[in-house]
Amino acid sequence: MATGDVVFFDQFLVDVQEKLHDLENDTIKVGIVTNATVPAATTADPRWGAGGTTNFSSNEVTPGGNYSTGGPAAANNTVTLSGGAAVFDADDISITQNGSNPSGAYWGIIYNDTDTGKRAIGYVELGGPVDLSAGDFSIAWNASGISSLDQA
Amino acid sequence: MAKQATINPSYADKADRSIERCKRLKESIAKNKDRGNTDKCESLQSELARRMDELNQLKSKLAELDG
Repeated sequence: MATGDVVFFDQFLVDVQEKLHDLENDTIKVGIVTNATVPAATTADPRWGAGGTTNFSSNEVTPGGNYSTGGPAAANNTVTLSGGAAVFDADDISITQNGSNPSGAYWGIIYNDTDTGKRAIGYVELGGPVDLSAGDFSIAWNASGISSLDQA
Repeated sequence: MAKQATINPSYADKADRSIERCKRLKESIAKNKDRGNTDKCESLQSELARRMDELNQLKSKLAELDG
């Protein structure tokens, strides 16, 4: 994987078609984890909490400074139609430098915080280890959005 | 499906991203207006204004360069 790669969990592809996610209206968050876990598309029933098979919150970086438990929201999430494709997008993630920010960040787990089961959607490779206390940190989603679903 | 993100983007990356994001924010504002989602519209408008402000600042700096 390369830094910045975004991968959906296979389970998400099922969940979204079983109406378990509303990508326009639910609160979507990005929780940051250490290398004590290695997410993969095939990760079984991934969650940010109990209730599934894989609980990524168990490997969250140590919250502090400008990083709160559970991670920042990918706010203003939108689903729009563009050129025949349904595009899912959201605000970029920004964490301002603070000496108490966590270090040892490897992956951002994108999950649905509105869902009672906090089902995970996908993950982004951060190119770790990243020390969030050393400088400002941000994830800019692709100019074409986080993802698109089309006829192809 | 899922698309490549950028970690700690450059100024150029940010500009490209903001232009495309602004287009989608406008589309989403129109959609949510039609649906009567006032709170969502206000939040999207606020983000659109912030992005446009960033782009306008960039435009001003480029204009200064051109003299």
